[in-house]
Amino acid sequence: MNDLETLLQKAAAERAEQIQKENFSGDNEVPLDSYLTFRLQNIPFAIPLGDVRRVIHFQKTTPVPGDNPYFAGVINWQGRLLTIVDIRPFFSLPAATLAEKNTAIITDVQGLEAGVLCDAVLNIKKLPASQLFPPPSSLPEKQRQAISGLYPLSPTDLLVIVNSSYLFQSIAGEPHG
Amino acid sequence: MAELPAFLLIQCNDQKLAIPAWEVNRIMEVEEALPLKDVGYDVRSFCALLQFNDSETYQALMPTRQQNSIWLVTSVRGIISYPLADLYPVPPIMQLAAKQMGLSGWLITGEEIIPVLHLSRLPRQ
Repeated sequence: MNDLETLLQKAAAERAEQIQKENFSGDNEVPLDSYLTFRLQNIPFAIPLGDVRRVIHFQKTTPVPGDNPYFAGVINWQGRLLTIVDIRPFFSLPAATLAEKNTAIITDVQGLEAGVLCDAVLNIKKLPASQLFPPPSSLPEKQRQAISGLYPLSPTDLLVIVNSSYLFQSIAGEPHG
Repeated sequence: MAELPAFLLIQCNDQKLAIPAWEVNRIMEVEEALPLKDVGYDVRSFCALLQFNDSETYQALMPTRQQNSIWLVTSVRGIISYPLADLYPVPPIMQLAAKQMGLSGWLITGEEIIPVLHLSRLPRQ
C-alpha cells in the first residue's frame, strides 16, 4: 500500500465518523456536480464530466523521446495525434505499464487535449459539492493542489476528485492561472 | 515539381526517430563511445535524452552546425522524403516539453508514428 492510499484510508475513516455525527441524510435539494469515475491501481478517482470527451481502448503507443514521466506516448486516433498521459507519477503512484489493451479517457481541459490512462473506467457519479472535503494537509503541495476534493464512498474508500485544470497545466509545464 | 525534404530515419535503442537530413553533415561509424569523451565530443546529451545503452558499436551523426559534437545512434536505417506541411504538429499539452527536447512533430508512414528531432535544437549538457 502506498502513502497516498494510506492517507486516503485514514481520511475516509475520519470523514465517515464525522458524517455519522452529522447524521447526513443525503438531501436531494443540494446541487450536484457530475463526474466520471475511474480507477488507478486501487484508488478511485473522478474527473469533472465536462472535461471528458470519450473513453477509448487502444493497443500500443509510440513512445515520446525524453524522460518526462507523464507522457506515456502518442497514438494515431481518428487521423489525429493524441497524447497519452499517465497521471500516476503526479500522485506518487508507480508509472503505468502498457498492456495488450489499454484504456484512456480523452479529456479536453482548457484546450489541453490528452488521453488519460486508467486501469478501469467505473461510472458516472453525481456528487454534492458541499459534501466534498479537502485533501489531507500531509500530502505534498502539488498533490493537494491537484485534488479539488475527496468524497467518502464508504468508511474505507475515498473518491479523489481531480482538479483537472491544475493537473493538466502542471503536466504541460504551464504557469497556473 | 519541388523536391520534398528528406529525413534520416534512425534507430535509438527501441525507438525510431527522424532527423532532418539537412541538419546532418555526415554519418560516422564509431566503435567505442567512451574514448570520444576524452577527445572532446559531447556524447552525454544524446545518451541522457534517449537513454542510450552501452553497446559495442554505434553510428554517429555529425551535425551541419556545431561540428564539435557528434550524436550517437544505434543505427541509421534509411532516408525518407516527407512534406513539411504534412508533419503532425506537437499537441498543446506537450509543446513546452517538445521545445526543450528539440521535437518538432511526427511523421506518419503507414502504421508507424515517428518523432522528428532536430539536432540543432537538442539540449546540450
